Amino acid sequence: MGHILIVEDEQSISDLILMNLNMVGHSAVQANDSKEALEAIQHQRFDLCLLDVMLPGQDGFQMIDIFKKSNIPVIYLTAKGSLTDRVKGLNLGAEDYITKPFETLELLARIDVVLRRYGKTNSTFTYQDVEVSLSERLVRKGGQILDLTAQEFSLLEVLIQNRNLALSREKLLEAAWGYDYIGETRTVDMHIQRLRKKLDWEDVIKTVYKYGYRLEVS
Amino acid sequence: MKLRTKIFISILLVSLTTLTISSYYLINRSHLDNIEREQERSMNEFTFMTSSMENGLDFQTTDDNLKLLVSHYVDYYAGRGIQLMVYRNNEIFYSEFSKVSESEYKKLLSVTQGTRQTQVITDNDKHYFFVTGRLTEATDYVLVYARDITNIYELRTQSVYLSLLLAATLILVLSFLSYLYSRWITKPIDVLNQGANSISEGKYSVRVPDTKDEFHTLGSAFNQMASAVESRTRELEDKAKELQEFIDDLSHEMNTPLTSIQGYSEFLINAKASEEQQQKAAETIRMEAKRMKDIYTKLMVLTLAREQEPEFTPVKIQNLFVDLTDSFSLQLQKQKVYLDMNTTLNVLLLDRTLIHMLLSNLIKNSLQALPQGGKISLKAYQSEKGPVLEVSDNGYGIPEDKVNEVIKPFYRVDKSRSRKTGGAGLGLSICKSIASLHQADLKIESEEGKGTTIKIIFYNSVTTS
Repeated sequence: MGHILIVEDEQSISDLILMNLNMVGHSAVQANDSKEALEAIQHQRFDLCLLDVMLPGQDGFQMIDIFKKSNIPVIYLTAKGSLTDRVKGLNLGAEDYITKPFETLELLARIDVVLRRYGKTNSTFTYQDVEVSLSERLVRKGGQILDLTAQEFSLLEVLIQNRNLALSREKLLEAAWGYDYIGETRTVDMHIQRLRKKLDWEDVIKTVYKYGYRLEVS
Repeated sequence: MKLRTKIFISILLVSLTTLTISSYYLINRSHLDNIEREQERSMNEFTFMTSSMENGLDFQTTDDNLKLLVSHYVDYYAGRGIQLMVYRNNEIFYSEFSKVSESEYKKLLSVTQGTRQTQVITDNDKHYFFVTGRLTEATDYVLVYARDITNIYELRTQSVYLSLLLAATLILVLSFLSYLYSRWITKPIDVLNQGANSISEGKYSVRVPDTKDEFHTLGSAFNQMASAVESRTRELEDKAKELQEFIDDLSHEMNTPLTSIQGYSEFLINAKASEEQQQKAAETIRMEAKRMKDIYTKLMVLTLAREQEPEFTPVKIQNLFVDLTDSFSLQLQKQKVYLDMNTTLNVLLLDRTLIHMLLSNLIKNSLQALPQGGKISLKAYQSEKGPVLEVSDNGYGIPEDKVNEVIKPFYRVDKSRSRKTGGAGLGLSICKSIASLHQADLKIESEEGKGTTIKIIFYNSVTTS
């Protein structure tokens, strides 16, 4: 997936973001201040940068030009959530602006949006003998195209995008069926069953007790 | 009622009253004088008339003859505005005057011999002065004299109209004049009014000029009040700003650990984490929770310290210093910082717990300023103002313009509030509170790049022998 630069001076938060990104398949590099960030972009290519507005010595708002020059999209992360700050950040050219404390799933979803916008997402996902093409909306197992309904595919897509993270039934319903869907979460269970069967992924799509499901890939 | 209206009405009332009273008196006086004059004149004329008639009339002739003779007199005098009538035995003998009915002057006919009866009689808006008298030679005959004195009354009426006209003119002129006059008088009040209005609109810097009259005192009192309002408002604005900053900083301080705790616990729930990751997550949660508790405690200390009653006991300074050095020994070693302590004071009356906290805070700050090692010195000595406890280091110091700010709660020189360069920023404000509780001063001397020295200066009262 994407190669992301995390510019955050609070070590614990930086680590947390790193762990989450790795979980869903992104690779990431940590920088504690502007100096380390500059060094990093000189030596590596990044698909996205998560930038904290309040950094020691330099204002995160000022740094955005550096990233824009290297064509790296920026998502601002910060505790400063006032409307003026948000507007300022977006006006300066950031792709998005997330305030702390944030929900991990939300952060990951927004990262995906930006990566998709810049065409930097992987359009295929492969695990064991299953190949999922997100662009073609096709699934191949052992080379053979599987017959999945559109709804089943959407559900699979959500699981893949949030792999290794537990998703509640409600969350799956919302993400794969949409906000307007008036139905019970039982339909999630039914579709999960079908996916497991069709893909032979009884051990890959794991049930999280009393909570939901999780796609576990190493 | 407005002051101007009061001034106007009082001027008006006084003038009108004066005018009315004087006019009334004058006109009346004049009128009475006129009447008196007419009376006298009439009386004289009557006397002359009666003697003339007595001499000229023959009362022995026939009535017709007599009437004829009388008629000459009547005609003569009628031409001069005087009416004459002759009565005999209370009955009319000769008269050409019908303007006044008999009933009006009937009683005058009973005039006694040798006297005169007079009366002013009004009939149909005409005024007559009547005189009656008996002829001495023929006492049956009564002469009735009536002089038209209407013009006197007309004169009076005219005078009244004139004075009314005068009053009306006076009102107009006075209105105008009193308007100008009251404007002039109340000008200082207007000035004060304007001043008060400006202040109420928020222009606190307005002051009123000196009016150099009885309002002078009021004016300067007003100015004083305005100054007080201005400085009070500024004080309140500053306080409000300070409070807002405090809240902003507090929320930021709380936010970071909360984000960590939320994130890591979410991670533990949602993710298929390795054991190492789980360990790290749990560890971080614990640490952040502890940090929040730390901030909370410090905040409580800060708040309560302001209201607390400290417990003063004799504290041996040497022992206190040794305690401090011991508790920091590990940290000092790790950071390669050398702590030097020296005291020339033996015992001071202090609250041991609080002073321990204060000095700990200062040492912590110094350690923070010496990331690559250095020297901290802990001193106690007597100065001319009183006993002093001092902590100084040769660390990276505080910028000159920030020296006054660092005392404020949550203030951090590092604007990003990074954990690496410092704590929540409560330390110095707590130290200041503790110092205040001991009635001591906290002085900061610092030079960027050279180091910082913090002195707590007590009064001599804390020294015991």
